[in-house]
Amino acid sequence: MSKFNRRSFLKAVGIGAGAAVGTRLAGPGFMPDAMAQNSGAGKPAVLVIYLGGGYNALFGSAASFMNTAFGVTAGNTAQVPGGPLVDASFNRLPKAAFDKISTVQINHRSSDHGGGQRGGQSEGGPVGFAIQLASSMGGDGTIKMATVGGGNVNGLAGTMNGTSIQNIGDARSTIDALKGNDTLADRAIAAKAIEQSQAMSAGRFAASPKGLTHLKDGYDTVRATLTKTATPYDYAAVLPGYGVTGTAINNFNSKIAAAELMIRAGANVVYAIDGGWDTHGDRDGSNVRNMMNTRIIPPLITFFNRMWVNNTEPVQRNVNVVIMGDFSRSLPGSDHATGCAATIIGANVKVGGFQRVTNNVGFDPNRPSGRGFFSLLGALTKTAGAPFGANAHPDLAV
Amino acid sequence: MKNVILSTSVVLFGLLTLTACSGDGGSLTGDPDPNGPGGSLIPGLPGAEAPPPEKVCFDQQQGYVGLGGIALHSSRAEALPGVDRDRFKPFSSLSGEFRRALGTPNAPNLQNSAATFGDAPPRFFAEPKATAVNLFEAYQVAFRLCEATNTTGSFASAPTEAAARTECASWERKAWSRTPTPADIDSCVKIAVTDSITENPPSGQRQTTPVRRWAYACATVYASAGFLTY
Repeated sequence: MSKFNRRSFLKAVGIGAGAAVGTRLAGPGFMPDAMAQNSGAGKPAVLVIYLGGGYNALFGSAASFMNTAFGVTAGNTAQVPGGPLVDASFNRLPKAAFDKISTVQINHRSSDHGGGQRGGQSEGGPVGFAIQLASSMGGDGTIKMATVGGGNVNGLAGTMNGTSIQNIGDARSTIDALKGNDTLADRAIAAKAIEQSQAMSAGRFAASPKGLTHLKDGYDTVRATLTKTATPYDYAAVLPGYGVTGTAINNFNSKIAAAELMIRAGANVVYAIDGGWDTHGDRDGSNVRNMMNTRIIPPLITFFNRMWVNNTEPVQRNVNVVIMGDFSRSLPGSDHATGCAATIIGANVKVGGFQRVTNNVGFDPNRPSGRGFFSLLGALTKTAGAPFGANAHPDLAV
Repeated sequence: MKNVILSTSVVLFGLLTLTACSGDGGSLTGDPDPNGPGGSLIPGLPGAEAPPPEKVCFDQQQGYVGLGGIALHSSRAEALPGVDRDRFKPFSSLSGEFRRALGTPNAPNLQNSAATFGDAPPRFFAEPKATAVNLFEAYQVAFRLCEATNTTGSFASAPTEAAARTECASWERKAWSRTPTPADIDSCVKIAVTDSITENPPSGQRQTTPVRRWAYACATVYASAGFLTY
């Protein structure tokens, strides 16, 4: 565990949490005027990586299974300083992010996919918690809640104060709307045109007030986006930063690239949904470890490096990352547990408050479900007037 | 003789069938013109005739009582008939609709826009969902098609109020399959005559060409819910 030794050394010489390792020490990271850091007081955003099918607790609660289940051993785990023992795949993240990982239980008490998803996202209510959070966070973004590359999760639906889910299937149109283009329609004229299109649509909206809610919100959002002064940020450079060629959002790499684009454009909450995590029979956890290492972690490393470590945009940010799924996987056959041990990574995360599951993937009966989880996200993003009440996990927020 | 009996039986069966299916076609909807402006099925809206009785499904459906006296129909969703029937067109039909309405069967392939609209892969179905992004894409697609299509004749000159009224009415009729209201025409004319005179792209302000002014107005029509929904 050479990395532990290096970390210990850095800590010993006074390079505290939040400083990055390696080249950053001699790089522009020491020029505070040139870049903004990720801090708990910055402009908040939440990226939710939703693993459709399930999210094995071996990642966030590895100690629960040490040498007993899911192939967890000392050799494939890593210790977050003062926090949980996690899967070693997380150890590949930049140190600033690794040091702010913790684990929270979402105890939705459901072992079917639909029930688990609803429990985590809405508890059966008409408006998903993520939409409520995105709406309450405010800010100047015109698209406040986005999914990147599509995908559906039960309970992730509804509208609140004009905030609804906007899916980004291709980044080209979004960049055009944000920046303008010499050959396409002029942004200001297009805004006026969309206003007139909306006026022509009044009859349809009156006839289908529920069915066309998203379209109605769409007109408002487009107008707001087009009338906003184009920001100088080079949005077109985001996708190539992840090695993505073209603008289609059709794999997880491009989803995380699009998530960065949307957060820089002002989105409060972004969902990147990945499939293939209903891993029945994955008794030694090798399948999920492989997917995590090959598909999820590589773009996340880039994301954290760009948003946390070397953010060249002069905006202080507080970007939080959540990894969650329908539920954790149960023992012995990696089937369906009755809650989800989610991973949270954020500047305001108090890692010592981590919540382990039992060695049989059991959940604390006193822990809340989705609403309580989102009350924590409200606290991490310092959202005033969050609609979820007081933070149900005070031990996890600074 | 057998043929006569057989023929008579067929005719009688046909008459009975017609009788069973006869009646006022509008009685199901309350409106003979489902494409009427403002969705005239809805009481109180322009175009509505006599207000239909405010019956919800519960008033008209069969109820079922299950074990323990529980009403099995109690959790059915309630709504007024005729309300909330509009849906966003899927991209697979929308791309063809652009060509039909604009009269450009050989228009450029719109497949580049499929991902933005969330087009489902072959043999899969996903209910299309309108968003700000695909709405803006719809406007951009319409603008490009209008710019490429409307280049000669009256489109070669800057739009006048009279010319714009004619063209806007024509576009709206084709796009919506109904006669537009004066207000609908005014909305389109405003873009052509007033709002599109100068452009301000990243390279700097410039005078808008006549073809692009017409395209702005034309795309306004094709970005309306009357075209994007059904």
